[in-house]
Order: sequence, then structure tokens, then C-alpha cells
Amino acid sequence: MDQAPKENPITEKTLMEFITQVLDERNVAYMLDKDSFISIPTKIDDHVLNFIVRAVASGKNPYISIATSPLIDLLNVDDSARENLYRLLLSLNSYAPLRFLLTPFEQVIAATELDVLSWQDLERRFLARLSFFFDTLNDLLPRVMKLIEKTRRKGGLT
Amino acid sequence: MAQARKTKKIPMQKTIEHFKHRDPPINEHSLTQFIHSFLEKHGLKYEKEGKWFLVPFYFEGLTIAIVITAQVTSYSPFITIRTHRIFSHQLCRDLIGEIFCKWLFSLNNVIHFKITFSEPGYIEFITELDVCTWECLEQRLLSKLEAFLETIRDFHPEIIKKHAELNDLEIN
Repeated sequence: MDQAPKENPITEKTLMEFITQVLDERNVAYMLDKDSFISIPTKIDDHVLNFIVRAVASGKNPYISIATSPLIDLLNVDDSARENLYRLLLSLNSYAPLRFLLTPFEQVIAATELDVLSWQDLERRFLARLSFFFDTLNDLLPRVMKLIEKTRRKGGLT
Repeated sequence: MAQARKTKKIPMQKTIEHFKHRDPPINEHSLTQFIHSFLEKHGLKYEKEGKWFLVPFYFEGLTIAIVITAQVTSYSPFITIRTHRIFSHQLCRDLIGEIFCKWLFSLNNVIHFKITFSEPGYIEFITELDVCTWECLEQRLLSKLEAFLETIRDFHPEIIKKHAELNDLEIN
């Protein structure tokens, strides 16, 4: 009698195994940090950064989190320029299908989450999201940096 | 004499293909149809405005319209879920502007949906659901919608409270 293939339960461990397998199959260079997150070195324009990929299965809905290492450090930004930058980045969240956010250390990162309700088509969805994330940043990051540079020239940045 | 019945032979391959279940291609039209049947199936009231499905949800003394739209970009198709004019920040004066903006911006770190300034003067919550495939889409949309509403329920009062606190601070 045919038996339906049993799928692995969706846990942080199985999700991390899934991610590393997908990256290995495509020869994507990455570093695995204590089995808790994956760091993928990336170059966008002149900016060297890392994509941090994590599996989160603690809550009701498991998901894969994709985020960047810090893009901008706002600690060095003058008060007068900060509000404009906050507004600009908040407005960008309306346009971009990813999220710019402020970490507790005043650093700006971009992030997105991919829901994992089932293993079905997950590989395709993960790869699509990863390339979408990269393409959006590739498009937006140079523009954001240019705007920050403009503020710096006006004396907004210390 | 009985005449031999003429039968038309259909190649086997074609017959099988004919009966195979075919999913419609994912485009704006088919995704819009999917959203429409999803809302009907789950008994959700809605109004249709062009490509938008406006779905009113009632929280404690508050009606929030959620806009659900199908979008197909050059990259990938997705369903956008966003609040419609949830909260006006027009009263936010310059002095408290920075603190309020920074606080909202930090909230994007805590919640998994985006808080954004979209229409001038309005703060909105937005999220996108990727649609690479029709597999599990109903379950995924339902789950996303539930999580989205729960987040609004949790954070909307906090936003109102923070805004009021900052305004009081400025007045005093």
C-alpha cells in the first residue's frame, strides 16, 4: 500500500537545514553562526553587507527572516537631520515590499519575513523572496545613500 | 446488417491532459477572483472599489477598513493587505515629530508588518503575501489576515497613547 511521504515537522532545526541545503545546492557562499543564523556576504553598489537569514518557529506561525546587516548608523546623524531621515525611511516602507527599521542601537536595517505554513513550494518561494529582497535593495540603497549624502552636505550630519 | 459504428480515436496522451486539473495562471485577474471567492467563502462583508476590496473590521468601538489588493509586478505576484486611513498624524507638531517618527520607526523592529506614512497625513499598517503558487494560498491568506488584525488590535491603542502622551508633553 502506498504511504504518503511523511514531511518533517516545521521546527527551527529543520528550517535551518532546509535553508543551508538550498544555498548549498546553488553554491551560495555563506557562514553558519552557531546554527542560529546564516550570514550571506553581499555587495550592493559599493556597499558590502551581509544578509542575515534565520528560522523562527517559536510562535504560532513559523517563518524565515531575511534581514541586512546595518545599512546606516544614525548615531552620528545630527538631530536636525534625523527627523527627515526617519520620515523618509518610514515613507519608503509604503513603496518597498520590504521593511526598513530602526534597531535599538540606532542602526537602520532592511528586513522581510517569509511565512512557512507548509514545505510545499517553499524552495521556490524562498529563492523568489531572496532575489526580490536583493533586487529591491539594489534599486533603493544607492538612492537612500545619495539622500543621506545630500543631508551631510547641507551640514545635517556631524 | 448492423452498420459498424464509426469511432473517433483520441490519442491517450490528449485524453489524460484533458482531465488533468489545471490551475489558472497567476495574474492580476485570477488573483482578484481568488480574493473575491475567499471573502465570499469566509462570509466577510466587503465593498469593491476598482481593484480594491475594502473589508471593514470592528474593534472595540473602532471600525478599520482593510484594503486587500492583487498586485503582479515584474518580480512576483503578491496580495497586499493594508489599513485604510487608520490614524492621522497631522496634529503631530514639529517638536514631537522626531520622537514620534523615531518611535514608529522602532516599532517596525517589533512587529512583522510595516508601519508607514503613505497618504500624506496618515499612518498605515501594510503587509504583503507572496503568491508564487496557488498551493496553500487560502490557508496562508487566512493566517496572514488573522495575524495582521491581531497586530493592529495590539498596537493601535499604543500608537494613540504615545501620540497623546507626546502632545501632552508639548503642551505642558
